Amino acid sequence: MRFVEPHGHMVSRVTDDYIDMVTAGCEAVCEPAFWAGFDRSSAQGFYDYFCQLTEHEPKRAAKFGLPHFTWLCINPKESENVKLAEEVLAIIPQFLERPTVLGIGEIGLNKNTRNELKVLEQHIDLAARTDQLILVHTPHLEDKRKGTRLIVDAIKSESRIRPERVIIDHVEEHTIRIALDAGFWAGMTLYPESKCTAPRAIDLVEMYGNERLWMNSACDWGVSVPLAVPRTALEMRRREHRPDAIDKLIYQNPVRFLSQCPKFKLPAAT
Amino acid sequence: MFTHKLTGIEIANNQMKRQFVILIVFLARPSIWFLFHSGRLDRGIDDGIRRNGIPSSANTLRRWLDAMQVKMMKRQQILDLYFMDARSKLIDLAAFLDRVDRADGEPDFRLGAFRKALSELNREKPDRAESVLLAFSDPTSEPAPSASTKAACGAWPETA
Repeated sequence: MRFVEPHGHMVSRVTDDYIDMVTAGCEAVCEPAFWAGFDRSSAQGFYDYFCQLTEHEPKRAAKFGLPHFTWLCINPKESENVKLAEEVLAIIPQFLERPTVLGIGEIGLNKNTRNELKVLEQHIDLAARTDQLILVHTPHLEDKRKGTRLIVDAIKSESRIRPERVIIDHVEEHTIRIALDAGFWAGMTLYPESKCTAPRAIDLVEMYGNERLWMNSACDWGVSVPLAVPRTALEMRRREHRPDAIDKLIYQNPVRFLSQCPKFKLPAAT
Repeated sequence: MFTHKLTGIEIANNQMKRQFVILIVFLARPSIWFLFHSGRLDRGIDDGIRRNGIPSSANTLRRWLDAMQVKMMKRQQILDLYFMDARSKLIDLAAFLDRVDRADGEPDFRLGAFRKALSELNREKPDRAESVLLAFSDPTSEPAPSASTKAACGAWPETA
């Protein structure tokens, strides 16, 4: 089995997780910028975080033979503070040319507020000006449906953004059509307690096909499982999905989307 | 005598030429079938999703999934695989409601939303998961003026 983990917050994980992922067949990991679990007090804190994502973490992953890529932004959980968000947005461009940066993400909304929406629009504008891929975080639980609609409307209103270069992550049964019908890619996040379980994610594949879908663990500092993608692949085997269909979902699809950024190259492909 | 441009095969007369064309068409049947049908199947599934959220017919769904290399199990197989797990979760739900009822306390909007979501399980349409999620969701469309918390609690406060 081979797979790409397209959304993992590896700065929160231990080295054993890297070993387990590589042992299970992981061929690349992509890490979107995330909330630390507490609010950073200044833009300088984000500067250090972006250095960690673009310098330190790729080296740590390389020790286990795993290519590490990243996405940059200020996470929507910290976007309510517009002044801080604008200071962070100002330092992002200097990192965009770094060799492992794939795009802007994970941007989106958290509590669907006006300030969050304003900061989201500024991220979208930055992505449009610099021709970056976009990875979108959709809100949690009761806020997801409304937030997904607001996000999709905001991106669709920006004519410079092509939908096939955007992935709407954390979709569930009540939001997947909003993303796919608008021409975006959709990501299913496999969490033990929220978002998608493995059986539900496979249900969505069986209902909507596997053309513009990927799966990720979004493993972070909370309750999450770094091996959620290969475990879901095993569940697909139990449900008699063919090996080539499984490979398409957990390897070929993320490679297809991420390869829209020329910096995404896997060792086997070069 | 002429030489076919692509294959380099030498063909002596018109009869052989006809036989050669028939052979090529015969060998290319699977590709021709796929080119003709894949578009129709895609349109069928897209129309179905737009109308109902799921493909419009089981046959259309199965043929399209076959084309997409996606497998679906028979009902018996799904029950064999998931019945015990679903049974266990259903008993857990019942025990959770009993536990809440045994405890003293003020009314809580989350319990109201939970009971509303439970009622979605008895629907006949195969979109119960989506309906349960919607029962917990904020149905409004305007951005909120501000956020009082970062966390979501799982149910919209005005559901109950």
